[in-house]
Amino acid sequence: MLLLCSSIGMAQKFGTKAGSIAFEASVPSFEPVAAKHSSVSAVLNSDNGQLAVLALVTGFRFDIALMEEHFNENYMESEVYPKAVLKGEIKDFDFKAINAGKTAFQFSGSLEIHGVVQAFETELQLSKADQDLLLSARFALKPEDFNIEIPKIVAKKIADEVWVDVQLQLKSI
Amino acid sequence: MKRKSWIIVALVLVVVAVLGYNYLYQDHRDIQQETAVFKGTASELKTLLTGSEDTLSNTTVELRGYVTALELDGLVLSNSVYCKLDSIPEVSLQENLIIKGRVLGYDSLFELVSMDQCKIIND
Repeated sequence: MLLLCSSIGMAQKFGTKAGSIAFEASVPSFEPVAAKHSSVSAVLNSDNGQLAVLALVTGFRFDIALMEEHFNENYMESEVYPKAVLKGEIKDFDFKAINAGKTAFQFSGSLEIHGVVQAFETELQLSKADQDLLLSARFALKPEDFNIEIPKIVAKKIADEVWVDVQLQLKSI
Repeated sequence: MKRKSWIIVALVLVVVAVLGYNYLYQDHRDIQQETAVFKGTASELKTLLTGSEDTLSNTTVELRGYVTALELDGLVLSNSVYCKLDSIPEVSLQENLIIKGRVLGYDSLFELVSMDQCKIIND
């Protein structure tokens, strides 16, 4: 009976509170426009591949303090829109098929940034390390898709496409 | 006379350059040197951030609580606040701590307040 209960019991979940998201929108010969967030939360349901990732926008750290201030106040308006959220499903997710090598999966869902929700698809890689699941993804976003206005005066210094790199070490929770 | 005015122009340019440089490359906030906007328990902070209006995000706070979970690079205080620490200290579960750090906001996935740049400041 106990065995039966455990096998049909709570869904198996993996999560982290210390995931990382880095982005870069640098243009050659100008000051690097790059930041990293290392307190990203994520939860993956390994029964069905449902994935949710949450980044509190104020957690993005830049090398240059003034850039960080402008990012929060002028571009992301993090007081008004404090969260960036990725939600959806890893298609054909099969926990047993994931091994120490990287396996590619398709993710399909939504991405919310700056209060704008967009349908979003990308490829991501999953692998196992000991008891943990490692998830990585790299994709490009356009600020204008999320109503983020780049003033003309700095437009030349910020790339049109922002490359985003996601790394999550998910532990059983 | 002409030479004197050139020196003044050069000095003004140097001052402008130095001020401009200091403005562009100003230092990051030093959370540990800032005065805490809120002092209280971890669970009080959680109640405040789940309330109607969040006015504490991106501010410095000082929290009292006890360790309810130890993680890779942080700890959970009183089942209410996740504090990311620069280094993992030798603390044990249930230990009472005072922590100073910056509030990032409310993490609805884990139902915890999230904080970074935290430091244990127990006497």
